[in-house]
Amino acid sequence: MVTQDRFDILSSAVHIAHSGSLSHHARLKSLSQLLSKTFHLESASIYILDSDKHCFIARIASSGPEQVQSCTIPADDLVPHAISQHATLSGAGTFSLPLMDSGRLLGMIYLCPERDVPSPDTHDRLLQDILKLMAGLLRSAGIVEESGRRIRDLSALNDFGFGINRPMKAEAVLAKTLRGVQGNTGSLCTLLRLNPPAGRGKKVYAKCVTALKPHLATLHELEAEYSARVMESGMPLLVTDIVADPDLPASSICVPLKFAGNVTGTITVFGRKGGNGLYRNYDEEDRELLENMMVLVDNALESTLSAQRMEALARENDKKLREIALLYRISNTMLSTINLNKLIHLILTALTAGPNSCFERAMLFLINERTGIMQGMLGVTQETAEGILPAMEEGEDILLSRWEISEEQMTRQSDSPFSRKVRGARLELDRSKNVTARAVLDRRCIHVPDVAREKVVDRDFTDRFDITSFASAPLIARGKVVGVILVDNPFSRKSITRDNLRYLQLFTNQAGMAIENSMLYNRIEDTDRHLQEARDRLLQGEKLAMLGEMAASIAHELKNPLVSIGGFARRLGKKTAQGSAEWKYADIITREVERLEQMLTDILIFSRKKVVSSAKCDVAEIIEEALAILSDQVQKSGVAIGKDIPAERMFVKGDSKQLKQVFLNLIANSLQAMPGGGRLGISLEQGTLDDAPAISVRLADTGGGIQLELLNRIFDPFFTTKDHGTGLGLPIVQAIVSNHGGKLRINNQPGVGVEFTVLLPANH
Amino acid sequence: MARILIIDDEASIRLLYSQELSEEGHEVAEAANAAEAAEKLAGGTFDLVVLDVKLKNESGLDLLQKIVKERHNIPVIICSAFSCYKDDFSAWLADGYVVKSGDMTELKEEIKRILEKRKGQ
Ligand SMILES: Nc1ncnc2c1ncn2[C@@H]1O[C@H](COP(=O)(O)OP(=O)(O)OP(=O)(O)O)[C@@H](O)[C@H]1O
Ligand SMILES: [Mg+2]
Repeated sequence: MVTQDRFDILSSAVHIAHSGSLSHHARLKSLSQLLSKTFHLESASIYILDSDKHCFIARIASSGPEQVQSCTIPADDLVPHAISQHATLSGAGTFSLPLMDSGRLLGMIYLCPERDVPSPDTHDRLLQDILKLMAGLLRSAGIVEESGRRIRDLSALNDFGFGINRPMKAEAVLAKTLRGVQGNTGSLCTLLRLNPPAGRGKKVYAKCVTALKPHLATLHELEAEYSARVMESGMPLLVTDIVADPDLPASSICVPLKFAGNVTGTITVFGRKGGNGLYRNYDEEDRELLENMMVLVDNALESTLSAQRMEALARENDKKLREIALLYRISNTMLSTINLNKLIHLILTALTAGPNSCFERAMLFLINERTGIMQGMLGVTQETAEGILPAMEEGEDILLSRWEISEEQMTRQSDSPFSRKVRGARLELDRSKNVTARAVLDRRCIHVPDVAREKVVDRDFTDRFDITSFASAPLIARGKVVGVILVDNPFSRKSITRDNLRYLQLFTNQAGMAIENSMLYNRIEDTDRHLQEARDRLLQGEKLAMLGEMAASIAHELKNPLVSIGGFARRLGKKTAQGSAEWKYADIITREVERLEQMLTDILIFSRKKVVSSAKCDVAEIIEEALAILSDQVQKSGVAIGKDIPAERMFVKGDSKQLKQVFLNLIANSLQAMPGGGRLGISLEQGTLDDAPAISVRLADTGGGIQLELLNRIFDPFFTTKDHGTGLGLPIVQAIVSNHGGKLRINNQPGVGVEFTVLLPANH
Repeated sequence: MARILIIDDEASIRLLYSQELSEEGHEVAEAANAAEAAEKLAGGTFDLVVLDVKLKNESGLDLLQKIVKERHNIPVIICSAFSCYKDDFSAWLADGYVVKSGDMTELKEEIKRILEKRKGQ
């Protein structure tokens, strides 16, 4: 495969991995199809590993109508091979490769070459790169699924809470509980058992999907066993290895049901259908969800008991619900925000504002491992957070609700005096000097109720910020602590409650996940940019890049002596009488040095890829400016300029200074080619570039053209046929035009003249 | 007006800077490397440091981190041959950033700006 083809393939792979309009599974399928086509495979199948690495739970194949198929294949046979990171040959030329991301095994891919075609080299860079993209996608799919699950859990709690938080009879509460649990936890069979005080008999209520009805008797048996254990211990039970019958779900949760503080029953669920339609085992998080639901039931049941306490309980329930709704809304907001900066503003804002705000101030520190310092980045107070997160309106759809923060609001926050002060703060990442460091190093929430009594605290810092009591929690993304949030209440001095801490913890977990998501997204963009750069280098040619680098290092070496020469020449000029001969000499040195400095900067334009400042530029205006600068030379050479510039204005996006340099260099070359006069035609018109609208500028002279044997050298840096030329004119033109996504064409007629065409993407 | 420490490995640049800045009324001290800089910093109080990013065998940016860490109150202006160091995260620790040039107007203005800002605080 030629290099260019490989770039094209990798570029379309990145494109696929990127396309936000497709689901992760659809993208993986397209990638496996691309892989098959590229490496002549009969098929390529991705097997996705369960998060606990016990088995492969899904298959995505290059062929076949479905995007993703459920499966249950024990991982034992395959994982050891995968972990050893070697391709495994499994007969008939078929082989498998691991899909790893940051050292974590996420799945496997099976490649089956076409008949009579040799298998591809497993160390092939392109193959490896595409596998890396796949692994990245798998990971990001996992995160999206995981977050989606959290949102679903929260909204389940929310719905459930509203459903039972109304005055009604105990029987009604139980009926609603059964229905709510079955509907909200993906359970296939739910059994609710009540053990009322002795003598009144037991009661088991059941709800079950049709497919499992034949097995109801077995499920009842299992439930009785689990329930007895839970009743005795009072602790919830999670079972993930039910093997009685292959047709039965493999996992179950049983949690106690409390009634006025006593365990009076249990609720048991069997089997779980995930949000993506795949079956999976229950885990700790599901257990937590179910427990939380039962807390709500507990409250609701209790409220049916005593009328006096009802109001208080309702209020308590209401508070919990509001918190859940808030958290839910925050999750939603954070997960739909890809921009890291915005995310950080939203995180701090939500901690300090919102309907039931917990803290009066929040600060974010980012961790710089290299320097061992936590650097203050942003601080938000209730004042700067106010009005950004409106309370939810009556009847608003919680599933659609999310917050926004505008650029202006972000600027207002980060320019506030408090935030500036935070940016000036640095904390040492050393647990013996600073408790906040413990939040980072131990990866947990830290609460310091009384700073005065805490031994390891940076007094300088707490005094400066008037902190008397605070809490801090780590932000964890991609398994690494990336930052730490510090919250306190300096104005009211109210103390931080356990509820507040729990909220902070829940919240930073969610925030870490959102940051991770955003980082992954940015990483895909990075890959894309690397690819683009690699391609640029290919086009520009290694030779030019190397020469450019050489030039850059020479430029660096020359700069210092130049600064001295220029600086002292200026001093001389200041100290001698203006107009005297010495003053003139000093002035000449000064000006020549300025020119040299400018030239050194020019050399760096193409040796280092400069970020082009992007503004809307009027091309005709730029040409006119270039002509004005060169008007002296035009006059001296006696060249006639013929302009064909339409009245309609044409725009491109870019850096007007650099674009002016393009025309300056090209026009200068033409003028220099026609010392005895001639004609330079400049015409501006609309054109196309790679099928997109473009602006085309043609510069045609009558300077005799370029000798054919020199033609392929004119873009080499330092190639010149002139006594005083630098030979950098055209290389700079080329670098600038390509930095702007444009193209340069040359039409040379030896003996007549040259026509250069500059094509730049149009901007309307 | 102010006490300024110039850290640059080139003697002629130090001479140029110290003469120009003394004429502006500042009191100027010089250091050619990190060790000298540390010595000077320990021996006296300074209002401002002008620091070259490229010292002979040492990195100016490392020195910058050390200065900021040990005496967080002195403002530092980074000087470099070209503007590319601006992208380096650690250069952000500095209060100002100037591209070296025979024309010293920019450096002088930066010094004025920072000293005034300090006074205002
Ligand atoms: N319009 C033109 N007509 C004829 N020859 C040209 C023209 N433009 C460029 N050339 C040839 O290409 C060579 C390289 O051009 P380039 O602009 O890169 O450097 P230069 O003009 O020699 O130096 P400088 O731009 O620093 O003055 C020129 O020396 C010249 O021989
Ligand atoms: Mg030229």
